[in-house]
Amino acid sequence: MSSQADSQTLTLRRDKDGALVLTLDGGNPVGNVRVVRAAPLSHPSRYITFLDEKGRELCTVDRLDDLPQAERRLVEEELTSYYLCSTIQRINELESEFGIAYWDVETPRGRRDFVVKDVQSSITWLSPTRLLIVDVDGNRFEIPDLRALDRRSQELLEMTL
Amino acid sequence: MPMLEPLTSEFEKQWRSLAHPQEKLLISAMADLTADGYFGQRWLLVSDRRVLVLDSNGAGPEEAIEVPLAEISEAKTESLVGGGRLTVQVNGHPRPLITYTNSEGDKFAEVAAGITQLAKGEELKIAEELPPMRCPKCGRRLPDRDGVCPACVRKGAVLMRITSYLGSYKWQAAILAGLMFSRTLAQLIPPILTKRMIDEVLTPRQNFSLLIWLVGGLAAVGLFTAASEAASGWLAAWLGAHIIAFIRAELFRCLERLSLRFHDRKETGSLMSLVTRDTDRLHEFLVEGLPYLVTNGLMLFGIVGVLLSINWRLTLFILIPTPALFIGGGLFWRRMRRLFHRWWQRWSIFSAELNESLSGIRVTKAFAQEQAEIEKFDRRNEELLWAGVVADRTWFSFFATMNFFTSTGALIAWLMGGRAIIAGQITLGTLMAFINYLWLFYGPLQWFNQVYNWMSRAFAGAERIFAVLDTEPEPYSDPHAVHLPRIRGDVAFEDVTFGYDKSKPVLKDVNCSVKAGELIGLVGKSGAGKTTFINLVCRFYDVGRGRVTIDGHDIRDIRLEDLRNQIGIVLQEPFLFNGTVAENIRYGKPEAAFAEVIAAARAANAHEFIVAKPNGYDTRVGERGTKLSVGEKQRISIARAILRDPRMLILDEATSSVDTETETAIQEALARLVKGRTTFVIAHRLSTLRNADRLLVIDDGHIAGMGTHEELMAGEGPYRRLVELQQSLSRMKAMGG
Repeated sequence: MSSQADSQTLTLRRDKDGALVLTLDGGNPVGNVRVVRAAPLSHPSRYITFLDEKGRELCTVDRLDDLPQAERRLVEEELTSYYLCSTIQRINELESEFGIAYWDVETPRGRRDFVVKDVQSSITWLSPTRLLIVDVDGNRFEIPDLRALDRRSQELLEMTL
Repeated sequence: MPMLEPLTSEFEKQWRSLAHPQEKLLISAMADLTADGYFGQRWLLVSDRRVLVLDSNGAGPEEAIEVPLAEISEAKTESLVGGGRLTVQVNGHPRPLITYTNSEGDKFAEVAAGITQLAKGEELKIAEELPPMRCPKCGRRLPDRDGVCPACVRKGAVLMRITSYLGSYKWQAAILAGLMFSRTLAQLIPPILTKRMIDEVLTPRQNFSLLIWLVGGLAAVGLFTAASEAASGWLAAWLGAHIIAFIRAELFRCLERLSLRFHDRKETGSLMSLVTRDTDRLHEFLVEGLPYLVTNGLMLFGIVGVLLSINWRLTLFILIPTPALFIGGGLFWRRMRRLFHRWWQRWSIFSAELNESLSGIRVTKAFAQEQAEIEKFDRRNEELLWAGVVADRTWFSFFATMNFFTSTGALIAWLMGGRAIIAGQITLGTLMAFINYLWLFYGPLQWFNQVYNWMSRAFAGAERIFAVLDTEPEPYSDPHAVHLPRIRGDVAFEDVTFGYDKSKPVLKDVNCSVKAGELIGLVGKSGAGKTTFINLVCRFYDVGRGRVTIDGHDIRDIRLEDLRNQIGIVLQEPFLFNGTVAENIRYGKPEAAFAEVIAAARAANAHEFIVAKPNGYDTRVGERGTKLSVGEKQRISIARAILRDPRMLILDEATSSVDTETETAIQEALARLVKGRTTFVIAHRLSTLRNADRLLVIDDGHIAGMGTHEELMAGEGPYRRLVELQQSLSRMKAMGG
């Protein structure tokens, strides 16, 4: 039951409990809608998929930019609350001992410390300069561009990887 | 029992101002994300009358979210990417209350269960104590939830534990230490002899008899050094090999005894490398690293001592390059480690892709992608090439530099020592002794940084090994367990909730009871929880809440040997070990007579196809059993289960991957087999279950119905939908065929 939505006919609102309600082509409104990224790593702001309560696809929007202002804001809100991945802006401390790395980093969400075990399998190179780090609890941290970090952070990273 | 995480003072104050006089706090739990998604604190409190969410950031208590318990029907956790959200059902609508990162996931799963229990007016039955998140000593986050802080334990403890294995070989270790010590002393002697030779024989050109003695002395020292080197090397190898074999054996024993929950978390590959690579590194350290460290450490002190006693001023001069050597070496090893690591990483990617390409050759050819594979390989090959070249280049240029630094020590010695000779302060023999010691001194120095590296690698391995050794094994031979030599086969689930990951329950509040000898068919969509149900019957996992009983005993109180010995299990993908067919059938009962093996194979409808093979029962299953078809393997694994004459039988999709004819053969075998035994059968094809006494329908972790085929068809449940769907499918097939 999937369809490529023409963004013109898609309307989105929140009901009184804060759940999303999606209406397509003026059809029946669907409640408790979930919004996910089809390719969160390679195309974070494209291919946004709307799912119903049971996880069935309602529609997929090619570009976030194609949505009207209000809808787009709602979608962005929803995506930020669903994807709790944090971007690392600076590394305050990073020590690694016997295969366990202790991190202390600054992110847009604030400062956070976390532990990574088994560096080999927990750190994925998404590109030669982009890193995804998954800590022991399954929290996700991303370094979008290694070269954009300050010198000290880069040095700390280099010693661990 | 309440679950209370101690409130911080700010939130304690908020709660005090909000609490009614008689209100009792039952649950308090901190979330690590604020309402705006920042890292921070947010608290969820549950009292006997309401649920509260308190925020920090100067928000006063008047802004707290409040939901009366009376309006809540249930609470659930929902997983997000990198975290989770606790949602309560308020008058039929879901209302998200609090978001947290994955670090707090397990805690909020308990909280959700607690809220649901309170909302339903039940007794609060959740874990009271939460595992610590941080080390109480150093404040670091803990890598595991077992409360062990490796950063605090480790250091000395690991070395102590490694050396504790020496305990059983006290004498050999003592002899080894003695040999190493005396060898070090012996190596310090030759320069002293050559010094006398130069000063008392060569320079004055006289005293041939002294020369004979001195050369004899050199020969003796050489002989002793060689002999003790051979002896200590031999002893170190013997000791190291014995200790490692012991640790390896202990490790494997431990792995076999560990629960499936442990094995689920670890990949087979990482366990293999634990038994092979990590023990190997430890071995390397024990046989080479440790002796090297001890002898050369002693040697350095010895040389400096001797040099200082001969001429302290000259000694200080020639030691000038030492700090440079140390620092340079340190920097170099850091760089080298990175380069080697990169090279090693390229290697592992390279070999993984090579493996993949070769095993996927059929697909590659089918899609005509040979060229793309070749290009991919070339790229990896090139990367590997350059990683190797860069590492080697650095390696060799380092040695050139190090040799230069080392020789500057000698240059200083020539210059300063030469001047002292001209001034008549020292003899030529003294200078030559200095220069000889110098080479002895600088040689090992270059390697010291490397030894540290060596050590940390070995220790990391040792630590991983010890972590496994310290994991609680399955409770075999528990003296308090109930002895059940013959299980009747009554099985009951009482309020069972279970998830492999605590925050994601797979079975929810399951209640059912099965009488001894019943044949129960488990029906449901894939992922509904059928296999999980069976895993709990076998006690491969322990329930999260509630209990599973067999013959009225909690399964956790029954001796594990008794339980597993009386359960026969046939899996969807039968795993056969490398060996003959007969050996595989005998796997669970190695003492079985050959006649029993044949009887079991007959019962499994396997006898005929086995004897039709050229080697009959002696046919080797071969690597991954490639020589047998799936249906054949299936029947062998059924025979294996039959041979043990189990009281309970479990068939997990045992007939799903075979054709109808084979299925009929297997069905016949099973019909003979299930008589008088409690049997659970999971099957996708509902036709397979026509002999079942009752069917148990599982839908999304709940029991959606239990009864005979007719009873279930009379209702409107998911079973009827499944049956109708399959019927229409087979009609379609019939029309198409």
